[in-house]
Amino acid sequence: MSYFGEPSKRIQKMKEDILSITPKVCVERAIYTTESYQKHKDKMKILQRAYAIENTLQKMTIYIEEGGLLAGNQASSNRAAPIFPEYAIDWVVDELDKWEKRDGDRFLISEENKQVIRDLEPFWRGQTLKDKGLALMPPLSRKCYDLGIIKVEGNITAGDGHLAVDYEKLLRVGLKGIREETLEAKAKLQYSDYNDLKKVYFYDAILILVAACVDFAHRYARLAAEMAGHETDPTRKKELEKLVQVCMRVPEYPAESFYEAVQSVWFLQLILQIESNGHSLSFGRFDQYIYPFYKKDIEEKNMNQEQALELLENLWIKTFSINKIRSDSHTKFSAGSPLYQNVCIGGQHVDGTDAVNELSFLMLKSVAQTRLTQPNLSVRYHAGIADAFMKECIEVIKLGFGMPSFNNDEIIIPQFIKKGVAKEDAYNYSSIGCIEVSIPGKFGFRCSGMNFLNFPRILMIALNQGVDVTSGEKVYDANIHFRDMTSFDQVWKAWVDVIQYFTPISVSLDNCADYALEMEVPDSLCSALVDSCIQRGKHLKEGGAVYDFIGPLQVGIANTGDSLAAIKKLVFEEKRITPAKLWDALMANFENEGGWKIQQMLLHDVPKYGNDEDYVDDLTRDSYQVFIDEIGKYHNTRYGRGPVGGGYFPGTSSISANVPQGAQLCATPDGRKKGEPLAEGCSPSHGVDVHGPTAVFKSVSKLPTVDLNGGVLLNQKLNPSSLEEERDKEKLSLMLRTFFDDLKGYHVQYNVVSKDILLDAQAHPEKHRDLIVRVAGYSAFFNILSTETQNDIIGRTEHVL
Amino acid sequence: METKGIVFNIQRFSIHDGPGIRTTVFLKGCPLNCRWCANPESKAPHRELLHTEKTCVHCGSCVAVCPNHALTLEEGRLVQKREKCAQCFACAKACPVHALQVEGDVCTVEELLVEVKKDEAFYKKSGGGVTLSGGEPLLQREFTLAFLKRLKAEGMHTTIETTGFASPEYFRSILEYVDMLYIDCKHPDSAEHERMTDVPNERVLENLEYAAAAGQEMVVRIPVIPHFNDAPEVTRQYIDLFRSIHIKQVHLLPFHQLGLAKWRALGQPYLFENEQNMKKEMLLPMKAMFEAAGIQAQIGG
Repeated sequence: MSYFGEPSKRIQKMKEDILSITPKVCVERAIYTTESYQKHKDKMKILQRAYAIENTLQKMTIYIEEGGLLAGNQASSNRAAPIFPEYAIDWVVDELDKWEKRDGDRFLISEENKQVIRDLEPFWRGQTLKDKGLALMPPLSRKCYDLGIIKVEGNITAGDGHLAVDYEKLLRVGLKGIREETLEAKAKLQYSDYNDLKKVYFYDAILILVAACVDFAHRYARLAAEMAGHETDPTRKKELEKLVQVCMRVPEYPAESFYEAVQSVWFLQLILQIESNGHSLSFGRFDQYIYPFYKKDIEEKNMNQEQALELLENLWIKTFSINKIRSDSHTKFSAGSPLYQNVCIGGQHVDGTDAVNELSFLMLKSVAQTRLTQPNLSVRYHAGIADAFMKECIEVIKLGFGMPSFNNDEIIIPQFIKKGVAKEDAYNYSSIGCIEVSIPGKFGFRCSGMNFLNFPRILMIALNQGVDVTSGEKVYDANIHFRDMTSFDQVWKAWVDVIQYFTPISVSLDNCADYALEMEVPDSLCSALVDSCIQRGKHLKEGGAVYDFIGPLQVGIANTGDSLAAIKKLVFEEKRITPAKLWDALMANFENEGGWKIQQMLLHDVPKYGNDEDYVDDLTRDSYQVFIDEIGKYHNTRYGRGPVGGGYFPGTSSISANVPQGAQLCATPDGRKKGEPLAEGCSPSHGVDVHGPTAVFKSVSKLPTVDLNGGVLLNQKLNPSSLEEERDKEKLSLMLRTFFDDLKGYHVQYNVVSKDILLDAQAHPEKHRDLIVRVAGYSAFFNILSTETQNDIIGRTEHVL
Repeated sequence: METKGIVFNIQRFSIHDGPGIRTTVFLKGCPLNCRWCANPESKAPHRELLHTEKTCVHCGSCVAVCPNHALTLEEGRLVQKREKCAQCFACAKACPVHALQVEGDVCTVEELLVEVKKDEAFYKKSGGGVTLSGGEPLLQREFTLAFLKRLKAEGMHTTIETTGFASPEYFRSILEYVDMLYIDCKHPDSAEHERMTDVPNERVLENLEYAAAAGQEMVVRIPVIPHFNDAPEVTRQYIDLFRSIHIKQVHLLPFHQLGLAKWRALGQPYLFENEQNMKKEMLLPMKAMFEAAGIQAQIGG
């Protein structure tokens, strides 16, 4: 018997069913969306979209799973991915025949449905978010985009996400409350005022969508009633009748029970993901806003703990049923088809007391029992968190599926306050998506997940006098080539110049994406659940949120620091190699005469980031600081339009981008060969951290964490033998506490699967169908990852305690 | 002149060498010659050359730089003539793949202190500190005493792992600076002890008895070695001995094969070449015997 026990028979069956599915592509949303856009051609985009979602919710296939306690499905079958034609259609048509043959993230689609998509395509050609986004890009920005130096493809094909809406308010006032608030705001508009006039369409869109949500819930009530009518098992019949009542009440009315609260949240979590093609739509602090309902029902004996557990587990299976399909190139950046639906537990109340409650424990248990890749469970750590809770978290870590990850209040709350977030909001922050954070119900889209900037690639451009080594294209003018440099100061200046050159280009690409998103795919329902959109009459992309910072991601932090250290020490201090010889070896991928010796020197004779050596850790920090200072000068498209902020949050939660961004890159001065993955997040390069986990923590803590609001992603891999003994678990807990309390680390997550198991899973995938690993800020089934990403994970250093 | 020590390894995040999270400093040189030693490179009290065949690419860079022709490539393998080696270590510097490495770093007390202080935050939180191990840490007499004093002056928790083979006066002089003593008792019988370690055990037992009588916080450790001290009759001898000198707690350390590659790297014959790692369960009967006799026993460190 495992520590957390097994889920009920019902849940076990539902889990088996969903795991045995090979995901399909569903064309229903595409059909109904196209229908509406054609019918409402004359209307503003914001209304076209509202009608399209209304039409989808009215007509899409609905079902209730065998034994299911919750209602609400995203597509015509579980795990099927809908097509969102208004976001992008070109790659969809181009890749139709390739989905079944992918190395990772496979999808099935029938020939008939392929034809449906081909038939829809002409209507959307040139009209999608992607088309508009690309058309907006100034020539130079477009060039950097095309060359893959700066990546924003996901933003103009997948849309937004990356936020948690105000579920607490939803449960308190129901959609009825949102409708009343909208009607009230609409009634105050003066149509003679242009600025007021513009708001009408937003308000009308909300009203259409709110009504559509209520009707959608009622469809399930009717279905459940019909099923109950045919049901012969009296227990099941009762369950279905209960579901009828629940769906008639929520999400329209305020929730009155734990059951209603869970169902209400699920309906919105689902519909928001039908509205938008984005991901990282997160639950926020579930153990806080659901707790009053839980407490009341337990105290009044309306339900027992087992029933609550079953509902939670049903919710996680529902959460896992959501799926989306991304283009082949985008998939490489986020391998394992993650939806990053984060659920946050723990943390503090605004008075600084521990917010952990019985529901937090129950949630750990429910996630441990279901062991799926969704939701993505994050724990808010703080110095006063109970030892018993930490111990429970470590028991979950021990299961080896990468959860929970930890975010640290001790650094994140001060970060928010430094950025101008009110104290009570800062204390209420929630993890979002992978490891990033924002304020639930008050914060705009994409606190992380804007452009990806490939640091080592631009370092190579800087050294190569402005010519991109990968493509041979000249991107900018620099006055000296590395071959002719005579001091490290010249290298440093080249780095500063290249950062100052590319940062505004990256911002321009974000602006193009955001401008296109604002005009083409406004998310009215999502906006209605974020303060102060209704009040201001602005949707999120127009500046409706109370706070609005966006997070670009920097990839290859460790490779950059290690490369600079190698150049500084070996070329200019010890003069063991000339710049020309080093450059030739890099261009020859160390395959020229004596090249292998140069590579060995680069690998072994220089300190590497991750070993607590100031020489390289300082260079890593300083090179990153150049970017942090530079990006701090720029604003996003909401600046001056209402929200606090309107600026940037740099961060390192680079999902699996380290693999494709490394694949495009030549050999680098840290000794990395051409095509090999870059280091992920802020973790050290693979296998170089030879002084154990404390040294890694020390190196990471030297980064300017207080300015990295977008997240500092650290993966550590532990050998399972390290967690066998009680005393070892306690030492792990104390190590984490030191990292968080004293070193003010931002985040850490664990993979506890031995290398042998991973290698075996690669050779015999059929035997390891349920093996889940931590990829970046999220977990994925090992089997569906591409071989490259699998190798990347196997290569991470394993620490034995 | 300032005392210098020779350190062959510093292991951070050691969690099996004393309370809390620790850094273990391995000091080079050992007066014993245990046939099963897991760190054979730690025996010699001076710096020495280690060659890892697995890493070696046989490029001949080392052969070319050796002034004494102590290295040759014969049939694609590197052969060391140790008697010719003048320990200049030019070869290790020239090795592009670090297959040749110098074991042993010479350092001062202050230099070593900088290294061990790097994890101070972790010691504080976990009640950990610094462990001196070896080799035999009591062999570098002056350095070890000076370093222990320095650590105590810094308020750090100290542990030593010793064979106990040291002069009784010196042993007594360091205890003042040792919070936790891990002391080996490799065999209760002196002749047997000498057969497999080259030294008799009387000094070890004298020091053991002294430390126990002085109320030193301590654990006696028994490396359980196949065909040497793993038989029940040896356990009975241990029990009689420990009862007579009031030893209350032992750790039983199962034999492991982690030293195999190092014996090969040093080019020395190894007696346990064909033995398997000992499983923890195999020590359960021994643990039960100790506990039946009122001596607390734990398997593993």
